[in-house]
Amino acid sequence: MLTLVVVAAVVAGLTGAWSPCGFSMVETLAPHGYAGRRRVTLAACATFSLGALAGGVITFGGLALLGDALGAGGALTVAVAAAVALVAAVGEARGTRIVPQVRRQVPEPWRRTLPVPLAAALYGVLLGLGFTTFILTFAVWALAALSVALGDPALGAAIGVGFGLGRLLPVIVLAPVADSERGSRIHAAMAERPAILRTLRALDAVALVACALALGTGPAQAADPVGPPSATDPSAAGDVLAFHVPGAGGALLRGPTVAAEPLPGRFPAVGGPHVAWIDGDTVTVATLDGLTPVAAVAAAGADAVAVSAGWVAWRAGSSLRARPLAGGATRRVDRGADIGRPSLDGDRLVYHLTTRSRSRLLEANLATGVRQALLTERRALLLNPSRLGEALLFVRSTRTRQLLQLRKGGRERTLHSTVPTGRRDAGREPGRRRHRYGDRVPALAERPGPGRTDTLWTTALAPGAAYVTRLRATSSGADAALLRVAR
Amino acid sequence: MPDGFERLAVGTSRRGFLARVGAAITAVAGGRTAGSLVAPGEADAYHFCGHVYTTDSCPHPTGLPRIDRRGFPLRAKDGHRLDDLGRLVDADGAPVDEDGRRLRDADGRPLPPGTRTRVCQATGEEFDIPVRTDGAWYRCCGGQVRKLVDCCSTNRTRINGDRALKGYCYADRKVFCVMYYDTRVPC
Repeated sequence: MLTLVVVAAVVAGLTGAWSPCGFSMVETLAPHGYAGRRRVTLAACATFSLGALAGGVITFGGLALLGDALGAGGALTVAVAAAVALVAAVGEARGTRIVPQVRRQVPEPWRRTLPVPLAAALYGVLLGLGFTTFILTFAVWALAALSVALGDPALGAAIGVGFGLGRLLPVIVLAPVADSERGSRIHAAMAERPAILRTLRALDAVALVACALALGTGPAQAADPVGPPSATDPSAAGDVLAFHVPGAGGALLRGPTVAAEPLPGRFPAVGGPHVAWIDGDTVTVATLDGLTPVAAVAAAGADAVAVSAGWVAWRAGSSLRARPLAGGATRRVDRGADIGRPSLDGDRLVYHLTTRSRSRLLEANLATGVRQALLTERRALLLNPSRLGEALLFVRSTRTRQLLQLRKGGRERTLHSTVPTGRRDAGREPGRRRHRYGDRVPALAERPGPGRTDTLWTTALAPGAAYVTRLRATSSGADAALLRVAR
Repeated sequence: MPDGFERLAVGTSRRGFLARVGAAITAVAGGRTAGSLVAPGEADAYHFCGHVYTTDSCPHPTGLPRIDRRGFPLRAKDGHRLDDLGRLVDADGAPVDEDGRRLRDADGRPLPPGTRTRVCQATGEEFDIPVRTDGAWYRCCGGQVRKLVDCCSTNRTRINGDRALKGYCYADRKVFCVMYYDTRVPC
């Protein structure tokens, strides 16, 4: 994705060379122009380059920061960005006149009143900003929309660098040779052969289509917030979603357009025809329709619960316990200092158990008493599984990425992914460089924002959607959000 | 491809000595300054101070391959303990934030600890090769003595994908990737 949008940004910047300002810059910086000497031309090219790069980063990085602040990155906004890219691609492919257009140019007097390198730097900033002068391609608008919609400041900055690069390259390549016969021929070709600009706009279209396809078909889908702010610990049964809001208690959502319904307890779970919640040292099980109590189970210290048509299970301290709803004794299913939240599907209870040497996803069949490890890994955390039929949803957290994984029939796919919990360094000490592997330098993992620790946590699985809690710790405190990902 | 010094060091068990010999020869032949002879670890072509070859770091939770004296990962910038996920951890192995507070979920329950694996051992698991740490070499870096440690394997290729070198490894083992341990000894 990164490569595609940066390529699109470079091509969009290149297309801008055909603007009035683009042509003017070549004239201004040429040795025979205001620069006067080749040395000044080269200095002006350098300052112009810095300005163009800075301008690009300011615009597109700033738009991405805005998107981040607005909570962009959800499935809807990504879909909108993909649609905008496609519409822009159609416009580019057809060579449509640009609307809306910015009918402004850089201030001409600067090149007469300021030292040329300084004027070039300022011109570079204005051209790099993208929206301060004539726009020659719809890709500029599409990249702006994409920056906001994805809300990823690093990606926005990369788009800005790409755009700035595209804007500066024609100028710094042509200005020093503008006096030569070759330079004159190139300049004339740019001015007199519309086919070149049409080709560039066609390339813009191709790059935008590629971006739209990447947005629409990425391996990991975007996640949308669901429920009230700070909602956590989801549990799903059909269309019903139960969750807990710290400080407020449990609630039910019986559909996407219905208001949340408060429950008389904490940490609710749904399963089969039942809903269960914790109230003090009691787990209450009730019918989903009407919330009519069907069982009240003594569960001292319970802090997580799961329920199905025939069972209720809960975690109390380091123990997982279960009891049949039809009557019978409470039994201990498993224990461990770091045992996870239970999730029930029929008779099958799934949970995680982590130790200092490994991380495991376990399943206990409450009807048969058979317990088995579904997955065991070292150097990764496997967290908070949920089961629905043969599908198993869980979080896999490693040093490079946190993944919301859906496992079915021995095959896994990633429904959502995000930055790792830990923050890597540059892989080298200051002033040094990384080593090559043959002809490449290996890519580094994406980093969380400074001072931010995100943890993908509890999950729930419904027929059409997967849910995951995202915990976020910053210097100002901790918060949670419940995310929904289409399956 | 390894550079000339590295090729020179192949087949020996003390590449530090040979590196300095190589540097001396090059300095005489190529007119390098005496400064490069007394401070080979400061060569700016390599990715951390003291490491004068092109073999890359062992996979480390946060990047730079800083380890403690037992080989477990530490954060390079401050020597804080890390788990395999790159999270800061306390003395008990529990994940903590920058201020040392335990990471917790939205209701204040502590998040589970991750595994903590020796960096060389984790490398062996990741690449499915037998590994061990053998010899080491010490250099002065940033005013303190740093121990350069090789993660060795009988593998013929190193982590970069090209030919492995002898380095500080013993017997028939060669360097797969590199790590370092910062002492508190001033220099």
